[in-house]
Amino acid sequence: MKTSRQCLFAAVGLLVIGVIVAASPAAHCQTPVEDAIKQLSGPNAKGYLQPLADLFGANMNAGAYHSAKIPKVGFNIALDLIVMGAPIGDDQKRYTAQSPAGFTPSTFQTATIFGGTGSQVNDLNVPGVSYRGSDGVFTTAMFPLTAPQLTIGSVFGTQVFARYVFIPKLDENVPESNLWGAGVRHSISQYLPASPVDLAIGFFYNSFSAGDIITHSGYAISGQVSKEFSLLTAYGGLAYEQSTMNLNYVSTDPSFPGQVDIDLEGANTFRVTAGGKLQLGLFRLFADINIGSVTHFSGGIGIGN
Amino acid sequence: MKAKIVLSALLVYLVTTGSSCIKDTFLVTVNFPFSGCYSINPGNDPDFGGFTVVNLREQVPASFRDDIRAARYYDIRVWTTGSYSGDVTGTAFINGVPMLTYSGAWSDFSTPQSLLGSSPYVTPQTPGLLELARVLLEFATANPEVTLTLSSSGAVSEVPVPDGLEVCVEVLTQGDAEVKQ
Repeated sequence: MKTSRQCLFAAVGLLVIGVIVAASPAAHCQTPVEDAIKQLSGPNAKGYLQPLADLFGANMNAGAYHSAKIPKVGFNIALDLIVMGAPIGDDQKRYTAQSPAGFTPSTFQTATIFGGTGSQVNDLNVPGVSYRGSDGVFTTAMFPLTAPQLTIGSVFGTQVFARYVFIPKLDENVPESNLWGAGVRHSISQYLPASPVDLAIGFFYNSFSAGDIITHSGYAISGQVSKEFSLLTAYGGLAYEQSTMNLNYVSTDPSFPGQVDIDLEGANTFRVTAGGKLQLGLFRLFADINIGSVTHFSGGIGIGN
Repeated sequence: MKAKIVLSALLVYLVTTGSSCIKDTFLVTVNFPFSGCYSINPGNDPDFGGFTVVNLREQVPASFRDDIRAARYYDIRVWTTGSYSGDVTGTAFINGVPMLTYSGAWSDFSTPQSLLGSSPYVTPQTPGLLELARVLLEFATANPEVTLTLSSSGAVSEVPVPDGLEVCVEVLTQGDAEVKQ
């Protein structure tokens, strides 16, 4: 049975943390998930977790704006609940893992964190010797992320916005986790009175950490455009972005022992966004599609002026 | 009012729909290698031997200690420590059953020689490998408190034997830990 609590954790994008509240009591500092990651050597950790870095990074940079219209002056404030989701492709469910040194075959296909059952491979030269990859953890067609976003403006056509989610250490199995982001947007169309559309530029930085061994950060620089049609606003934009998930731990894999310190670069570096917003008094609904190396969606509900 | 109801419903939908969920049960592979190092007494006796009693459960990371559902071995390695100019010949045992023989110059084992990769210095012995597989099966399915005895005996080629020589045997094992929600 999948509880709403478990799904909410996942939706908040807390990697594999928390949701894997293993039954076993733990008298140690790190969670079972962190211990599980430490079982992986550097190359296999990269293969197993790379799809997570790709999708998480794309999601983290999504949903930052829903219009390019920014008042030149005046107090305005809005609170949005934004849901981002990236579909998980078949190519993100398997990776090529390295077998232990000397093993034949030297590589084999097994599940990523989004995959199914891990594969077991037998050595072709020594009967009885076998090696296995871990199962996938998530069973979902779409990897989501949810975050509240507060936007405040405007001074000289400039707004600032921020996101923040904090999950305290719930017990020995659930590490403390932080997700935050902050950005700034500036109206360009204020300098172009004849422009038929609203134009803006923006910068957005975000960060996430879970427990002791996983950190993530990313940023996006975007150009935004929008046009109002009564209650409906059509918006879109282009963005250059980067995201990096860092894993830092001591591998317990005897085949590849030692310190693991790897950066998993998110696949998305450029995106095209197209979406719409429906304004209903103080409330608003919005949704958009983001096309890049990772195609994904964001949408949400908000209140504010 | 109707708009508020619609918006509330949408809010619930956004938070819950499409949410990834975690598998109810999945397997994490965990490493729990075990090893023993056996000193060779300095002097004129070329023979050596020793044993190590291993509680497999205690080798498993604490998070997964009670959750192992399957276990396997994926390598056995032999290496030496200390400086010596002669040869070494020996056998590694599991529960007294020969698992692997090794023979070569002492320096050949200064880097671990593996059961894998066709090392000319180690030779697998089927009876001991079957015993190892049997014990791992018992550990994972029937008796998590099972212990085994890893041992090795052999001889070096030249005396007097210098101080500080050791032969080490390591069994690389892997278990499938079941993680439940």
